[in-house]
Amino acid sequence: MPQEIDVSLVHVTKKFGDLVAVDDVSFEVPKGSFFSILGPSGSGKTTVLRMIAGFETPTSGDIYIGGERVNDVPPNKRRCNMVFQRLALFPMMDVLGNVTFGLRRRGGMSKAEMERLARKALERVGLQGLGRRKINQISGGQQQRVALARSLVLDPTVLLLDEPLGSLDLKLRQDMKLELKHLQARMGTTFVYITHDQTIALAMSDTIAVINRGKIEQIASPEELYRRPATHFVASFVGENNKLEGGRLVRMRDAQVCEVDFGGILMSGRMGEPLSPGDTVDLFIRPEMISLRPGRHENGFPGKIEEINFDGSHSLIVVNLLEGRAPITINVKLQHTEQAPEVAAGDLVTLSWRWDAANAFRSPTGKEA
Amino acid sequence: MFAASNSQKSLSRWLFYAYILLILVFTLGPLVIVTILAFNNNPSASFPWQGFTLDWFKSSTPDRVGLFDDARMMAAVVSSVKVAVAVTLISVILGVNNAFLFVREKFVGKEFLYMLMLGPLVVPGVVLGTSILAFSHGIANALDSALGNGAGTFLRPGFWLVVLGQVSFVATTTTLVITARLKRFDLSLEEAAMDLGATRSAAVLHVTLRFLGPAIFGAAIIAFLFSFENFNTTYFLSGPDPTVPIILYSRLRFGISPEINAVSVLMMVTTGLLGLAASAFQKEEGLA
Amino acid sequence: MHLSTRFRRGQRLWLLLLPTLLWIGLLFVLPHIKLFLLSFMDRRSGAFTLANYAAFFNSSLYRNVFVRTTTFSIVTTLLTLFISFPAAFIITKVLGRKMKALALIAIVLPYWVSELIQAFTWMILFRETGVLSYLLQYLGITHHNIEFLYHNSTIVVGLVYTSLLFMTIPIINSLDTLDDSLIEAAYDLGGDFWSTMREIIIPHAAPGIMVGSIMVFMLNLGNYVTVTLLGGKNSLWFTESIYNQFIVRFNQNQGAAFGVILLTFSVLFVWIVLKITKQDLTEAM
Repeated sequence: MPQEIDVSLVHVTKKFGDLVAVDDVSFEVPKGSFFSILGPSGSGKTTVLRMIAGFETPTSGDIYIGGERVNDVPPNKRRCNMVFQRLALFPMMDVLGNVTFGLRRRGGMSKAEMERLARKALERVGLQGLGRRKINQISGGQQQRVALARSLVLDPTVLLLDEPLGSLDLKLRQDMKLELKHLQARMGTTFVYITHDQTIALAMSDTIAVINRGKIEQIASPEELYRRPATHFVASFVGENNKLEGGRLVRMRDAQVCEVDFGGILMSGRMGEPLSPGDTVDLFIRPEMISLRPGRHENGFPGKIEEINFDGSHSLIVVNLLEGRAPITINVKLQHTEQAPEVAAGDLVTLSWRWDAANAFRSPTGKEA
Repeated sequence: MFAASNSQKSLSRWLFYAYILLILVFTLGPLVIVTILAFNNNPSASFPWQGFTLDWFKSSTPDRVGLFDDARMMAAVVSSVKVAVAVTLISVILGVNNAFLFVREKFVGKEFLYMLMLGPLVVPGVVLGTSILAFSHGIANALDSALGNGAGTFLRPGFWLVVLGQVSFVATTTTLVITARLKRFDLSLEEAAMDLGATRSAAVLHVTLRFLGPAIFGAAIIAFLFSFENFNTTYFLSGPDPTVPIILYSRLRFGISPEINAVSVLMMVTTGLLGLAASAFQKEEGLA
Repeated sequence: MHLSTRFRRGQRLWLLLLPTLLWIGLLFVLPHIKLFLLSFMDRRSGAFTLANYAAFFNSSLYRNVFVRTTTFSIVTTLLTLFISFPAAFIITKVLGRKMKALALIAIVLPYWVSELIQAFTWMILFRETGVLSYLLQYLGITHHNIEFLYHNSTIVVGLVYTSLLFMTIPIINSLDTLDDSLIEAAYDLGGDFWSTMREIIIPHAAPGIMVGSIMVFMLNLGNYVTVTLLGGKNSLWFTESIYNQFIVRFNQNQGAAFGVILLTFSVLFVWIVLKITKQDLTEAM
């Protein structure tokens, strides 16, 4: 059975004068999914969202919502609603006034019916009984929920979220993150969420599109994105990584695995993109995928612990590799489990990792270390 | 930003531009026409254009008196400047004094006094002028009978009464401008100056008043302008040496001569430049 | 030590208070008390009388002038609002940065030109041998001079012109604080131009509209120059009645009563309007 698609962008480009903000972007958002667009500030993600909402018109390409081409449909006629970055709640109305605003515009409904729907929406986001409060009388977290209720009450095909959690403090953000995910699962509404915060994107999304300089770098599930980044940018942007720069690709073991020479040390890794011998490559290794054994061992890379940074559930251990012509520093994330080895600064250790914990990409600078 | 398809969007955008253009024609058009007419060699002070001339500024033939050769007009300019300088000085000093009073001091009835101080801005100029006239008339009579004839003369219509009458409302404006800046002054700067060995008065002089400098300058320009242009209040208080607006008004009631165009241009240029200086200063203030 | 600083502080307060009290007392409070007292005095004997007020309420001429002044002030205030609001909206929300600065300068410039010159420019345009009359003949629309001065509509044009800035600036200030995303949110939720105007933009600008309207109304009510120059002998403005009593008829007491009536009325009127529209002026300022 083919999946139903709620939003699709087909070769969409947006220029502001000479500046190409969005460059030939295409993607599809399946019905009922939580879709995130992840990118650094200035990557064009906001422009993509604003084009879906209808506040910007694509320079070329088409946008479809619920199968209908909406390029020429104004924002007030599109069946998608937006939760704004700074929420944009109307201070001249109370909470209920905000939530019924869209229903009142739509008309054809009694006042009592509108209020019933609005109260139901407020209940759904856990704000029952606050309908008569002024916007400046409720907390930041409650404001987030009002903004959600205000859009959800209209039962949109797609809900667009412009990084609304960004303004909250860390603890509240963690709570809201889970709540938002549960709400989405419960309602089955398609969410398109843009953010520069990869922890939020990884935790909430079914699918993530990573965007950089107006171009889509990769569209994948969070796990795929994390384990098998498709580009150099994704590898450095998503999650923590050790980035070993300027190695020379010596040979390919098979279609997937290559061996890279870093000043005399040979490391193997997954090829993130097609590479050939002689290429200058950077190798990305996840700190938590590295195993650390005290003492010197046959398989693996010998090193000396430079410093240990305690961080509660784990420690970040900085290790200098012993062999090789140039100094190489690798961070290792060590979980504090019962089996975790006891180590101290200055200890000799051996590091090892599976080949697929390391991803190799062509170095953008091309300079060998 | 406006919900419309592209073609509608550009149409409404053009309508907006057209509206703004219309407003600009309305606000600037008359001023432009007066400026053109000031250089038109047509004694009827109207169109058609009969060539360029500077006669309405400088000429002393019997049928054409330029403004610089018009003794009464020039005398009015002198007395206007005299009044404006006096009003500016007094109003700025009062403004600084009031700012310190309302920002730094605490006393019973402060709120009430502040509201009262805003009064002269709200009361129509005609009422302000007449009430000051009536009041000063009574005082002058009392002074005359108590101290002999002539003792109350300075409170009769004339230079000093005009100055006092204008100070009544100009000082409110200077107070508002200077107060706004003093409110933003960080008191710890004054404390730091004293900590470094300055006396209290030296700290106020070298730190606080210098901080107030731009506001005092701006307030002075505004005070000068308000005084120079005032008609309503001045009309009732003016004596044998009228200011420019008073002369202009009395002439306008009898008819229009091209010389008045020239006076207008001169006033527009001076007040326009001063006004621009004042708004530029205020803009800077807004950013600071 | 403690006592002396307290003493010095008290001294400083009085030193600052004295000039302020002299200014506001001698140049504002006492003159208005004098005006108030004069209005209740007989012109010759100085005895208490209500005759000056009775003269106003019994004379249909004065009453009519007063009603006329008020009506015209309200009409011109509303007219100014209808012209200024779209201008303020376009300047703050439609124009780009450069155009905005340009439009602002163009609107502020006439404000620095004295009201007298402003009225004069309209005389130049509207009088019988004026620019407008010339233009109409030049275009062949008419073949003789037409007097546009000394009509009610001339007064309205002049008043709107002098008031425009006092209305536009407060509205611009209040619209400037309106976050654009609020307007976008209203569109996003299905609002159109008019509903967004009605429910978001105008409520947000209400304090600015209020301040502007009150200022313009008071300015119109107390106007003298524009109305007498553009309305001529037929201007029939209440401030002219005050002037006539004081200067032409030397009847201070009658003029004082008129002044008190004008003041009381304008304050009452503004207070009632604020009550009706449930606006708080202190909030708006």
